[in-house]
Amino acid sequence: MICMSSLLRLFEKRLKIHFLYAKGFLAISSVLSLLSFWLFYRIGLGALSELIWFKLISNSLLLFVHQRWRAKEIFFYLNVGVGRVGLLTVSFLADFVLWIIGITLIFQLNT
Amino acid sequence: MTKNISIDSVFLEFGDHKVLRGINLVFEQHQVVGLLGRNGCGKSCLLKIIIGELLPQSMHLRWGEQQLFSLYKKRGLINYLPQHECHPHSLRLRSMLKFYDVPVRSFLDTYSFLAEQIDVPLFDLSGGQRRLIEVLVVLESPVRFSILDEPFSHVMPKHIGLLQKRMRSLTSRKGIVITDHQYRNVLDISDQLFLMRDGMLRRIEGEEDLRFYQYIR
Repeated sequence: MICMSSLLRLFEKRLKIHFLYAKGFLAISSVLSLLSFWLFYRIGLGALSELIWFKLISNSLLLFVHQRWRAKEIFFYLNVGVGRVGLLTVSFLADFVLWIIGITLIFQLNT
Repeated sequence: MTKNISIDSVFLEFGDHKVLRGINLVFEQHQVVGLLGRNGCGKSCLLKIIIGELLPQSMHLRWGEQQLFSLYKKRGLINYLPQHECHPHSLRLRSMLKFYDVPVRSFLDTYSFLAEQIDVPLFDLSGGQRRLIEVLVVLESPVRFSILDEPFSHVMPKHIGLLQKRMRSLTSRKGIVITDHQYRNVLDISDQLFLMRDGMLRRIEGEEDLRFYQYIR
């Protein structure tokens, strides 16, 4: 029981750390997500593969800029136990999963 | 049993410029180790090599008998404070303490003068207050070694005395490595003191040695 609660606390702490890092990136990438949702709504399934590439490339570029911009803060994240790769991977995947959920919802709305 | 961090045969070059030429150093857990040196002599580079954020041409890094490439890989072993501010300015002291696993109550018992700042975002504090908070939080966190690059910079003299006292008392549970240009503050609290000169470390016993090596006049 104690072990479970400490695991939950650790998970909550990790989540907060990742959100703290990703929030600037998520704010900008969500604008691009909304744009791609609108395009998908207007064009439909025909635009899906282009939109996936658009999202993957724009996310990669945004994350590259974001990690350069917040380079000085990396020691804080290392001190609290989260490395560069972890920060970038979680930010990228969280945004991409949200994007896939959004696209799926719009697809269901359209059909 | 206490283990030491030992680093030896550190060679670092940037092109033709040889920054470090065979550094050997041991950090013991209940000691304050001071590093002095002129601007650009490689102090910060050495600290970054030790924590694994800069890759030199050659190095052997060990924690006890275990060979490591980055001390951050070993959870709870080290934390590091660079000479620039490294905490997101949206953070508040309370959340910093939680992230660093420092109990808020005991922190405020020790530093009651910071109670007013506990829920103030860092961007609303002065540069000196921010630096003091960064140093204290990193110092108080429960790791075995704290590595501090210029912890006394931007901190007012009254608080420098407090930091020195706290660093001394914290050696009961951790090792501390500091580098700073305020050499007297480093000299006062160091168990071992080194001067970095010409890419090598020289052991310093007192101000006389610093004068001998022309670090001071």
